[in-house]
Amino acid sequence: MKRYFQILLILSRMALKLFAQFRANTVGIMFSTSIWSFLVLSTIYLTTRQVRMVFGYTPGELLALGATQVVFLGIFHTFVSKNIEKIPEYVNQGFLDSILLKPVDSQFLVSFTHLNFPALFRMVIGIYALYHLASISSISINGIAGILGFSAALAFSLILIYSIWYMFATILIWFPQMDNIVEFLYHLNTASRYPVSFYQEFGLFLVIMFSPFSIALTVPLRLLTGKADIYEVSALIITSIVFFFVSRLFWLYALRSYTSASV
Amino acid sequence: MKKIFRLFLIAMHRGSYIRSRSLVWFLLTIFVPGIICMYWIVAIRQNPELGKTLSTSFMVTYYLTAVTLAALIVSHVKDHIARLDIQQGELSQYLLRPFSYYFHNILFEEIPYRVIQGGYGILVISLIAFFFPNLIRYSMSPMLFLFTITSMILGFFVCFTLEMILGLIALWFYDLRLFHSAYEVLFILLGGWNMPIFLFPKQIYTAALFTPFPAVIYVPTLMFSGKITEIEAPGWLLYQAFWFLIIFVVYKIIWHFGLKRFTAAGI
Repeated sequence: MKRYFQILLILSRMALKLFAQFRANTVGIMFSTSIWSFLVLSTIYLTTRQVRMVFGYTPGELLALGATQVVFLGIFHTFVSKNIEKIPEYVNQGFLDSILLKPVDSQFLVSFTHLNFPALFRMVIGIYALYHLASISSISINGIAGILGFSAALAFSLILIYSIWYMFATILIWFPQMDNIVEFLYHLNTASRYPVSFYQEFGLFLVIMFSPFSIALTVPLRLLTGKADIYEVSALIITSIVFFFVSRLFWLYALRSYTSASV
Repeated sequence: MKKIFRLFLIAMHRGSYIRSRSLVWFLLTIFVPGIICMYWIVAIRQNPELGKTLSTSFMVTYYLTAVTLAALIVSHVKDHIARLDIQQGELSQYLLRPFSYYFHNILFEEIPYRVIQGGYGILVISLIAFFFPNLIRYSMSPMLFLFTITSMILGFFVCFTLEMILGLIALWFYDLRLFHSAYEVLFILLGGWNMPIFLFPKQIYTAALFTPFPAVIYVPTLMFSGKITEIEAPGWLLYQAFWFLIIFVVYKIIWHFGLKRFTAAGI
């Protein structure tokens, strides 16, 4: 574990050097990441401004859910998504060979080699949005306990969404031409913008399909506002652990079918 | 003409070669509007005051039409142009061909994919119309149908030319993420992708009309769903034609100056 932490530190140092080396690009990425945050928040604002309450949430709470998504995506895009984006390239061009030959766990290297620190700017925007919503009384924050609960739950949410992304990306080992599946994953995150009660309106199938995405953001927010109950928190923890182990087993199973640089 | 047709058939063949990839692109187009459409269905059901101005059938028709038209109209050539043609120097081969680069991209890069993805769109809308006839409402006179087809063609050209311009920016800049993100966000927000823009606050709606984005999906979708009447339609067509003209002139200027910077072997 210590060794992996040291590797992560080295990778972070490399990413920071890149961050400092291409300063214009860094500023560009920070702007583009802010633009996407703006899209999330403005979409929720525009779609909710004419309603009083929908699926048990006020417009302010839905905006807070959007802000939580912005925080979440800031962290997720910093550590994970750039790496998942590279998987089609690894599989298509056979770079996965060199990863498999290294004396480090392949899933770890595939998942964390490329860190994208400018994306953390999005997290700052999300935290500011949450702070602003609390200051205008759209939501009430449950003190330090709420903030700690929010941070801890967000860590489990990251594991959960990471596992789902990783399972989808693993499919590319069998179907390397379908590299646009990663683009689809970016869109799939939109499902986390609405609570489970929203999907319940459309039947069990959608609840099963989208509830992992949904609880990934609603539970941290409900912990922040002091509304979460033990069942919700347990559901998030158990789901994230189960999904993580399933994604791990799926990756190991898929590697058996990896044929190196050929389609 | 025969040769061009043969080249087009090759492009069609290439486009249909990996159909699963096209299906993922289509799912990608349908996913976010689908979720937002579901949101409106619940919002209208749970907020009766909203039901006075909006109906579920209108919203479902709007989003289904928008995603189908998006599959038929919305071009995605900018990444191809920037990455392969300019940064890897493939543009050289197209400069030697007996037709323009603009024409090449329309006929061989864009239309085959629009036909395949549009096919998926039409299939989905037909299935929904068949199984849930009350959810979708189309009422259209032959004249309005003609206007709608013209509007779709103009929407395609506006979008395609915008994408060409965004691709050609690679002649000046290496990292295009900022330009592409700004374009995509504005397109999603002001182009009526997330919601019909007439539902925006008045100032934002007016501001949106001063951009070319509503000309791509929003206008043809409103015509299809019957929100624009026969009398209003020519005005909207003029709006689209105006934006196409402006964007095409900008494209020509960028192409003229940008080509001088092209070094063939990458950037």
